[in-house]
Amino acid sequence: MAIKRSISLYSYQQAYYLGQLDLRGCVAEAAKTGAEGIELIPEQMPVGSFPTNRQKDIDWWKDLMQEFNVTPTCMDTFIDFKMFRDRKRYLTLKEQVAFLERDLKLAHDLGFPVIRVLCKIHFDVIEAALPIAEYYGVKMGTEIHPPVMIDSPYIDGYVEMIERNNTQWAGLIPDFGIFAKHACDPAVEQQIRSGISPEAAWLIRDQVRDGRPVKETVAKLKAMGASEREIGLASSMGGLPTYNDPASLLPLMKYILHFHGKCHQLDEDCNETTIDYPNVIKTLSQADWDGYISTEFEGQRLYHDEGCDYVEDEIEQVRRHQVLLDRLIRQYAKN
Amino acid sequence: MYEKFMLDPEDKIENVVNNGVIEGIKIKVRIPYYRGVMLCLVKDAEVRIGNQVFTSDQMKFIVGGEEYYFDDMATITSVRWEFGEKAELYVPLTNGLPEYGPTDIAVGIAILVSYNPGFNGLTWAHMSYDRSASGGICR
Repeated sequence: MAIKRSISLYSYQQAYYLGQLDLRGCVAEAAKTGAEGIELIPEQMPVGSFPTNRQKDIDWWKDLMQEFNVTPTCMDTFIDFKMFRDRKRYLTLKEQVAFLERDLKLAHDLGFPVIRVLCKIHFDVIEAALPIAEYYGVKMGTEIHPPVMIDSPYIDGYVEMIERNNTQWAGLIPDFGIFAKHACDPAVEQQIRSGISPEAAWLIRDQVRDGRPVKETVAKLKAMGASEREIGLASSMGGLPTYNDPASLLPLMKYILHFHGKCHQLDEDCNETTIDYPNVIKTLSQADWDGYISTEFEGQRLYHDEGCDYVEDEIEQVRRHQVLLDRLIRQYAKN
Repeated sequence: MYEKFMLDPEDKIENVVNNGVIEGIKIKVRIPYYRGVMLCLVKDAEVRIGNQVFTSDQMKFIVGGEEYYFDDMATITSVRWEFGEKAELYVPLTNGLPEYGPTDIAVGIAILVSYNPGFNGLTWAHMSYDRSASGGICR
């Protein structure tokens, strides 16, 4: 039983986008950090092509994993349920299950034991796909990602579905973003560059950090003559609390298949500046949780607005995050 | 996302010439999203060149060496615009860009993201482009 380190190649997305790293280059960088596991979004970095999976591409991928002595941990999937927008309809249950089947098969072929299913996918779809997941031997993990909180009707309903089916083929993938204490500085600075006044942006950050209700934040903003957009920020993702008590994971522990180690900013001492890594890893260690945490670095995108000169170094940020994980896993290891 | 990288200032903007007449231009663009998508999810585009506005019904989208009208793209599920891949927008700009001097160009792309209703409008990128110079300067 142990917590192991993985890297989602999503973390290197900017380098891939700009043609600085190809898929092989991303795996090579990940391996340099000492991570054992690799997580992939095939729709971002196709193995050969997506969704086709030809045997030569599957062989190439397996050789790549062997060459760098890493193992596939989790494959991230999407269901574009609004794809027939002109018909003004969502995909039916059968259509959505067909997309899941396509991805479960691809995960099986590439050697991934788990797929990440987006948290907006209804668990009726996952329930209908249980026999398919069992057939391919790939588990489906629904993501717990902000703004969804652990203690929520959504998660209750999902867990009820798992228990009703008494299945091992559906589970959960919490994203460490649900343990963020407040927005990180680069996110606030990006809001300011986008036209939010510095006073409003930092006030919203502080209110979330101090656990103050959104209503109070909105009242304070109105009193200072804030714009509608600033008030909107306070009541949307940018201003909502995301901090969940790590102890709230305990009743869910047996359903947790994998973690997304979301991170936005690692300082020079390899600490995540706003996400509570120490307490979560301590909780997982004490509960003997066994599985992978994938670094999911997303801070590069906080500098993608026009006029922003800074370009984040993904390779260095991922390295620091792996140092953090390694340090905390050792620190809280039981023996 | 990816606003500042959608347009690559090193890319040349090509004239499209037919029978000796410049009928339009092709602008290279990368996706403002973190994954590739089926063409049915590329739901809108707009280009502004100086004071002229070109909407998606006037333009064509070129990816993988093939041209598509935006109207047709709503039903295309078998062709993808991959993450980081440079597609091209064909813009019917009569006579093309001026030979000398900078022109302000803005390119907007909207991707249909099923799970995030807040991220469905046009994402804009801007550049100043000079045919006589080395290329563009992104904002």
